[in-house]
Amino acid sequence: MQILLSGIQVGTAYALLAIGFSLIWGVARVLNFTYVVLYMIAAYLVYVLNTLAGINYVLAGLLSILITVFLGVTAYKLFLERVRGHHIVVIMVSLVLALFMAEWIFFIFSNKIRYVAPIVEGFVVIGGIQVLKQNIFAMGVIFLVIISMWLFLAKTRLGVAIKATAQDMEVVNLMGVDEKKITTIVMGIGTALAAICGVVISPLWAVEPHMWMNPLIVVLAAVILGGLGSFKGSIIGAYILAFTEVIVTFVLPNGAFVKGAFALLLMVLVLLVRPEGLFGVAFEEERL
Amino acid sequence: MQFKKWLIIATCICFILGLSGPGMVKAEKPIKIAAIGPMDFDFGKLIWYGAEIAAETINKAGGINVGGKKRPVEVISINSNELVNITDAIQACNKAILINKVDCIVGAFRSEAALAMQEIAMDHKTIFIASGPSSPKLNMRVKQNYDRYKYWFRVNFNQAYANPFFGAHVKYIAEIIKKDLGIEKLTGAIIADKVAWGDGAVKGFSKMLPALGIELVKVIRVSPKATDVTAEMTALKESKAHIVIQFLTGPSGAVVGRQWGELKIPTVLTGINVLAQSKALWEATGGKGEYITSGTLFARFAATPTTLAFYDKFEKKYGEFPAHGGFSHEAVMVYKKAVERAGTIDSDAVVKALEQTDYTGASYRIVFRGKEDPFPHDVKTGPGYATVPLVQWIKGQQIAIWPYQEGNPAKGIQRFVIPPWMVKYYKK
Repeated sequence: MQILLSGIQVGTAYALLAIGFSLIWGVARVLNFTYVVLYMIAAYLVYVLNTLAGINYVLAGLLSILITVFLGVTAYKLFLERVRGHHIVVIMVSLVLALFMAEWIFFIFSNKIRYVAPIVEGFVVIGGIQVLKQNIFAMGVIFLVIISMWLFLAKTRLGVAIKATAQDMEVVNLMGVDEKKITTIVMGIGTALAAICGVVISPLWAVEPHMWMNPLIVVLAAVILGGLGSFKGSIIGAYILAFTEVIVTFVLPNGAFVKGAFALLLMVLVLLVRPEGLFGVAFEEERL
Repeated sequence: MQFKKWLIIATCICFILGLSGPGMVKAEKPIKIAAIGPMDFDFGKLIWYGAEIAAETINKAGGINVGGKKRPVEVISINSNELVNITDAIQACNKAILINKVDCIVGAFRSEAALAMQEIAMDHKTIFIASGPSSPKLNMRVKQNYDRYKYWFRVNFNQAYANPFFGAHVKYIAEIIKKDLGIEKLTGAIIADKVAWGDGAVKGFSKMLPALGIELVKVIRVSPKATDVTAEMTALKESKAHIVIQFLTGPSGAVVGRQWGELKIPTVLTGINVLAQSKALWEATGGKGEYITSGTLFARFAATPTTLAFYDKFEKKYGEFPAHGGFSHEAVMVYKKAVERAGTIDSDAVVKALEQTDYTGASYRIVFRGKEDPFPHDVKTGPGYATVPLVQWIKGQQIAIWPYQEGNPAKGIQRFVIPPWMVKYYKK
């Protein structure tokens, strides 16, 4: 029960991050390292608006998401859009951007660990296990967002256009859909997902300038494990990695510091058997 | 025109006389001391503050008496960045010696970086008085190769000598739990960062707990950079340990403290939580870290006749508890005394003088161990010498709770308080 609950708690946060990353990669073909830094920026924005400025948490959260989306889309339009298609250049530019943003956060806030008060205090007991109410709130919000995203992609015109762009950008262009506009929208949606994660997680995890590093590895791994561009795959990949980490911590507590490595090892083992990931397409060419 | 010419000449003469007149004192060349540490982090800033406050005290009194001449002290802040990159620490140490041309280095924080910086300092025969890293290896080198490493001293604790004090802390807490809660058989767990000093601490405590009659039920090692310890805290709670010994130096210290308080896990947190040594803990946990205990470098109790005054002066000036800053202060003062005894800043002569140190400053009585000791140039520990106080956070205040003598505690010391939720849990 402990493992189940811990795995769900950790996996849910990873899943939201993974979906956004997968969306951006799948549609825009951009390996955007600034994505996880934006998740951190959203957490810091909540700290500034809620803890320092005293603004109500919900309002602070919404403002943080809006500001983060603006930053994310602006960074994409200014730096990444023009180098799309040149994969190595995109990686280098997004990495440099990510480091630049992260260094600025460090410069402004130093390394002090910042506290964001939970929206709901206290804990509940589920199956004999104490779970923070903030955790339940965070999971609830994230589940809602995931379901909304799924419905959006499946049932709306824009969602279908996004999926079509992910499948075949050239055909979508020929069909008269402005793929640049779609890509920009996806960038905004993806960043919003990262920001939502940062907002709801900030009262639970330590808000400090290196908080983006671990999620970067996990998100990349989840997306690759689940299959590039696969919505379902990203979620499942995230939970698999989270549960692996939790199981390692329980079974091998002396090695808890390498729980991430175990999770990545599992990813590698899966890829050896299925290089396209659990739910990715078998041949890369089919996606072009 | 004639008048103007004479006016200029007269002015120049007066100027020259003024410069060389009896009131003019030729400034002595300052003695340069580098305070080295991770200056982007609180730990590093404290090292700097301690050295700075020591330099101010020395300079107010006229400086260091070097063979009859008073020379001012100049402290230089050197950012080792050792918490992020050990290579940066090596370059920083090189810079301090080769470019800043310092006479002495004080500080350092992480043992891995200190091991590297030690080599640089010893290459240049530069006195290095450490005030933070605790790995025994640092002073084992002095034993193994005295001629090369004799310039290395340490005013803070060697891990090997610190463990018995942590054991005394655990014993003190265990006795109170047994007495107040009526629990006869106690269990313990360890949660430690995966860093060099943590390895020694875990090894030591894995043997010490059973010796104290406490069953060790769980050992968890976390990444020092961990910002989420959900799984670890769940595992800790599941272990049902009465006492959890922490060895945490990174952000994990904040998350452990916060989640422990939020979930009201019925266990005592003790050991070393570096964040709990400073005000940062209260801010980082939003007050949820109340009742955490931690060994610390400096606690606000009358350890020496000057502890309380120094502590309050430091807190007033910098808005922070001394912690590592207290030890960089001691390092500078110890160096000053040694130079005055030696009558020179020549490293070899100062080493001999440092070895004669018997100094009671704001922390404790500092006497360095001799060449015959397994760890030469470490501080002597035990009654009358160096000790590791224990503090507990209560109502936003960091209170000293050990060394505690029932019925006659030293000024500033209070009895350990069991977290109320733990009392409620076990009294049910």
